[in-house]
Amino acid sequence: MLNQLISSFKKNTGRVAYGAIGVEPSLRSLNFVQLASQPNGEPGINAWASVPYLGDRETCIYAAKNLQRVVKQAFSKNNFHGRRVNTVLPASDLKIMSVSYQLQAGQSEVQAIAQRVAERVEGVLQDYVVDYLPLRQQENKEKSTAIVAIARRERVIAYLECLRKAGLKVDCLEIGPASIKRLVAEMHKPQEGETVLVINFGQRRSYLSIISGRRLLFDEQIAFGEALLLEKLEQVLGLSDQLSKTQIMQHGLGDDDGDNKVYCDTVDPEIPSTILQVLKPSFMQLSESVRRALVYAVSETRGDPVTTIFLLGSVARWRGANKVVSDLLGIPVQVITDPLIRFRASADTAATFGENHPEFAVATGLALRGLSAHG
Amino acid sequence: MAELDLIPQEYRYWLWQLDWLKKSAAGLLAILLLAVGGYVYLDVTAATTQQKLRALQQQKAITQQQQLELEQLSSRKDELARQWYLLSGLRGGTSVESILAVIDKALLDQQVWFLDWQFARAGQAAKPKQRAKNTGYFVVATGNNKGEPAMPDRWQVDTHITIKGQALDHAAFSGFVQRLLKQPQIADVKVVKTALSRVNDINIVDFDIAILVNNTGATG
Repeated sequence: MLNQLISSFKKNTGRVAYGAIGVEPSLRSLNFVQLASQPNGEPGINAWASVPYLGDRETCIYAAKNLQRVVKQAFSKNNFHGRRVNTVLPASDLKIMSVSYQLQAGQSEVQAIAQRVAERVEGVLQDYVVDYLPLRQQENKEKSTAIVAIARRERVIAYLECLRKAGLKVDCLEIGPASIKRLVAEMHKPQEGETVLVINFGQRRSYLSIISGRRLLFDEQIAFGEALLLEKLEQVLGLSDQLSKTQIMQHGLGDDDGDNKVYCDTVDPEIPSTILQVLKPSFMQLSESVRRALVYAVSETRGDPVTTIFLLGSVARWRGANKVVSDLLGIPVQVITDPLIRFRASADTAATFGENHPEFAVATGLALRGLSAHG
Repeated sequence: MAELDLIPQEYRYWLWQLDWLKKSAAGLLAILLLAVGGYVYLDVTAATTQQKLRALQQQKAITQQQQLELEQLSSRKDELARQWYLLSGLRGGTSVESILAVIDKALLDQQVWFLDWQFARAGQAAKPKQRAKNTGYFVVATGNNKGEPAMPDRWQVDTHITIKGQALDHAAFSGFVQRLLKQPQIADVKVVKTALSRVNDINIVDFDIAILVNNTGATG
């Protein structure tokens, strides 16, 4: 409330108010995005940076000196304001689950959820940090559902301490899906009660998030990702990862429409369809998982269907991936190729702003926290 | 709307404590620096002020000494001026010849003659009350506690002549005195002693008189 008042005051004074920096430890790089509230009240991009790790993610973000080096590199070349950050734990250190619970007599919501979570974690609950987002109560008003985020306490403290020693002040430590929800809400501007599905593709895991209005209804991790698909192509076609990816980026998946049509006329039309045939079973598995999520969404929203599917991340960049998903699910699909484009200043040109920045989706959502009307 | 946050409350509290400690330490350090700075500033200011004060005291001491010297010199000058006026008075005034001429004019005939006479001119402190009691022939100087003579405030030069003589009779003596008193050069004639005596079976009057001669007036 206080932040909103301060933010409102800053808007009224017509000055630029810098938000916290969104910091996402992705698999290969640490991504930074900072937005600023413009005089017209809309968030605009202030600075962004993606600094690759020197080693793997584990040895970078859990080692203060390495993290300090990466942060220093990011700040030295970019015009970040302040040291406040919103960040997420790496997906490997975080578990997100939907928990159904029923309040017993004299039991609080926290106690009920803690009881259910304790049954599903290894060791004692005190070794974990737990937070949750309550969803609406079900029909009988006794059973409720919550999305619960769980992480090992020692990992959380270690990460926070490394960030602190790197000179950053952590405002909040949240989860990727909440950040994605915020980004989609800001970019898509959903209508009240509109439900959308977001598929955020990773290398070996992807994440399905259902957002209803401003609420995160559902989040699930599935075994689907770019690396798995490329491995499959390697197994079947004998193509290396790099070559497979090059082929996909050049020729796309199957019969694409739009601009690709012209391009595909100049290449062997067999290549895209061959690749699609190889990968189609994997996409079918993906569609099954998505259908289950859609059923859940309908049940949670009392019949409101998912109107749009948003694709983010690695596979979303593949030419024709949107059409494959749309054809399989029969729902319009939009690809968020550049999460920063929405916040680009009018003075920015393609030369100054650069090409697509798909890797900044989570960091941008984090940067929106406290700055956007959507959270 | 509620948002997830996985930062443990106890960690936030620890950070708050750390921040508070840092701010307190910074505050204390600032206060300490201010205190040290203030102390140094006051010390330097006090030293400077002391230095100025010492200089002023030295100047004041010099001024007092000069004032004292000036007063002493001024007093000395006044004293010398008084002495100068006194000496001028003593050296000036009515000449002895004119006095003798005046006295001679008063003798007229051979009925009064002198046996002895003395002429004296001296400075005398001008103390009207004392002078009323005394005859005013001698300089009377009052002493101070140290036994040193104190300088009188005013001085006057007295010129007087004491005469011992004889007259044929009191009428001749009286006429002589009256004639003296009529001379403007004579301020006063005091009869100190008269006595009858016989010389060769002739009655004569022995007398002692003091003649006070008019001077230019008091000095000082």
